[in-house]
Amino acid sequence: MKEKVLIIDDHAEIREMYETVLRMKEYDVCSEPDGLRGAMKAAEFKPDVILLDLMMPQMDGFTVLDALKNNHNLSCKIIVISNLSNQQEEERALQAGANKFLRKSDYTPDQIAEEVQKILNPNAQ
Amino acid sequence: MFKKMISTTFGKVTFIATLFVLCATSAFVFYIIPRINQSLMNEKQYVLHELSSFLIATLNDLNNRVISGELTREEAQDLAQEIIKNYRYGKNGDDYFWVNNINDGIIFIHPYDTVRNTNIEDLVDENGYNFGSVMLNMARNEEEGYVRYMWMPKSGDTTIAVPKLSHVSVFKPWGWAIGTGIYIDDVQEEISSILMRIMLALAFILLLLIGLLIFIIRAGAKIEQQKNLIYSEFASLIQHLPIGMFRIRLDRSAPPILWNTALLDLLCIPDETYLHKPDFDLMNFLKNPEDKKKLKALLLKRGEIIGEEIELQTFDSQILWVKIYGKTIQNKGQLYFDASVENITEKRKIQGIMQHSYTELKKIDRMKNEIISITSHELRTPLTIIKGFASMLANGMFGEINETQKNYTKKIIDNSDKLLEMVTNMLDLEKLESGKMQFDLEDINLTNLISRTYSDFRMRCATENKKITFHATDQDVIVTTDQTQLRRIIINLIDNAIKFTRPDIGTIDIFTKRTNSDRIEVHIKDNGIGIAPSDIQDIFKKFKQVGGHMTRVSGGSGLGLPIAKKLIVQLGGTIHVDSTPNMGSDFYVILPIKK
Repeated sequence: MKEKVLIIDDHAEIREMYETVLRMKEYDVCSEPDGLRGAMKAAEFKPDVILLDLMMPQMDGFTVLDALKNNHNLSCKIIVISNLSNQQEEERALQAGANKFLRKSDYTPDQIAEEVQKILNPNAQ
Repeated sequence: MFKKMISTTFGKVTFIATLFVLCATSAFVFYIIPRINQSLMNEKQYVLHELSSFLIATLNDLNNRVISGELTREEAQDLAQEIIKNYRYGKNGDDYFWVNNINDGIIFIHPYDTVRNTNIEDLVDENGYNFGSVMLNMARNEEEGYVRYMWMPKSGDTTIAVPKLSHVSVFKPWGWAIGTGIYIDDVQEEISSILMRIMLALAFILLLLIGLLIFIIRAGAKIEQQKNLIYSEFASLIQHLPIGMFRIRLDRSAPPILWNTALLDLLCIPDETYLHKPDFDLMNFLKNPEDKKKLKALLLKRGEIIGEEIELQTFDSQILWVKIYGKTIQNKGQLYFDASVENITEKRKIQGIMQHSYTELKKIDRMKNEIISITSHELRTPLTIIKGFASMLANGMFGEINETQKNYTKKIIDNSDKLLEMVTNMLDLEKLESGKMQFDLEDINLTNLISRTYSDFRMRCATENKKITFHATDQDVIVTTDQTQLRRIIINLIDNAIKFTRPDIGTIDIFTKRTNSDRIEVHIKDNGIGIAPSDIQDIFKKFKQVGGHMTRVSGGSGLGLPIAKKLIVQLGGTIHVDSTPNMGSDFYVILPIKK
């Protein structure tokens, strides 16, 4: 069975980019353009990994993080992807339950896919 | 003037000395000299008394012989007359005895013919003193006594009468008054000589004192003159000062003692005469009455006021802000306050405006930084997308691409990275300036850190054919720092050094140098194009890249060095550069060593 990845980001090109690469790497990929829809999708889709942006309309990433962590039926890994670069935001996201914080501009789509793989198989090389 | 003279120590001493001399002189004249005189006179009187007693005893003896019938009265009186005539004493035997009859006063025994057989009652001295009758009266009262008068001395060539002391005693059985006298001019002389010496000494002392007094008075006058001169010069000097000055009594409300025109101008006092009114008090110009108490309390406690800023209300009811500097002065038990008053109303106004401008500027600066922050963040997303798609193309994800396509996609990726770096730098600079930069401090081995960084550049230098070396003097230097940021600084410096050296001849030497026990220098020295002295100051400033051709060679954001400088300062170190154009640059950071 394919591992499932949900991308929540308001930039269509970002979603397109990551979706393309992750699909090529044989993941089951879904994406949503804002926090509210993303959180709802997560409950339905039950992804293994969520790539979550922070600055979004409707509901921002932190609120989504809270909502996901309060839903005990979900047991997915969350990678926060953001172009915010303040240490406070990184700390806040990690405290709120994110498993990883990545600055989008530092990673190519390929490298993002690698991070997804790494978080799903932490023991693999 | 006398009072003033007395007030000086010297004057006091002189005054006491004068008093002492006057007392001593009075004691001599009124007490000691009369005592000496008296004692000398007593001596003379004693001699006269003794001699007379001896003569009376002789006469008694003769009279006893008459009573016993051995001699007749006439024989005895003849014998007595012989004895008395020859009874002489004193110097040259000048002094003698005489005898007169108590009843008729006729002198019947006397060595001088002129006096013999005259009545003693007729004897008058030069001053008209009828001492003869005094003597006769004494004799008649059967008294023994002394009489002083002036008499011509019989020896010597003087014709001047001298004082003489005579003694009268009575031999009652025969009714004889026996007199004798001695000249007492020697006593007089001795007294005069003592007096003369005292007078001389006194005159000398008085002369000295007068001299001294004149000196003191003249010196005092001179001092007074000098004081007045200084005072008037001072008063004239302060007239021309642009700040208000005054001296007032602090212990009571009174018009000022000293002031200048600047003070009158400051307080808008139209006429100096106002200051002479008895109820005039400068303290009344304080706008807030409690300031009066505050200032006085401050002065009494500390003795001075330094730059106190208070509000005044001028004569024509304007409100002023002034700055007061002043000191209390204690003089002759009175407390004064000397002060200067500076009008700072305008200054405060400007200060207020400047404060406002500064706050506004700060606000704008914050806004600018926020805009940079937001913009930078917004720039990153499209750059991420450009770079992302380009890298997907370059990876051959959508089919093989040819060499040219590979080359071009690489150019897209490299330039995206450059832009991203610039954005990161701008953001970091903003963080550093707003104090939002967070540091992760830990103790690290500096040599290891530099060594690792150096290794990262060896490959690049080999490719560009530049020589890079690293030499550490100390192997185990521990510094407390943020590893990532320090590494970033060193990377930036090495990267610059490589950028600004030419292939084939370029050398980059990295070395550490310990200047003292608590500081270490990390040098990155190259033999590149160097920096002109006029540009050195600018290289650590934002968006300054030095020299036109360098910009082309470097292609950097111009933020590397300003960031490095701000980072190193916040990490407790400093950054410096020594450089000579066409010879190379030596950039070095100085870091504190962990104790």
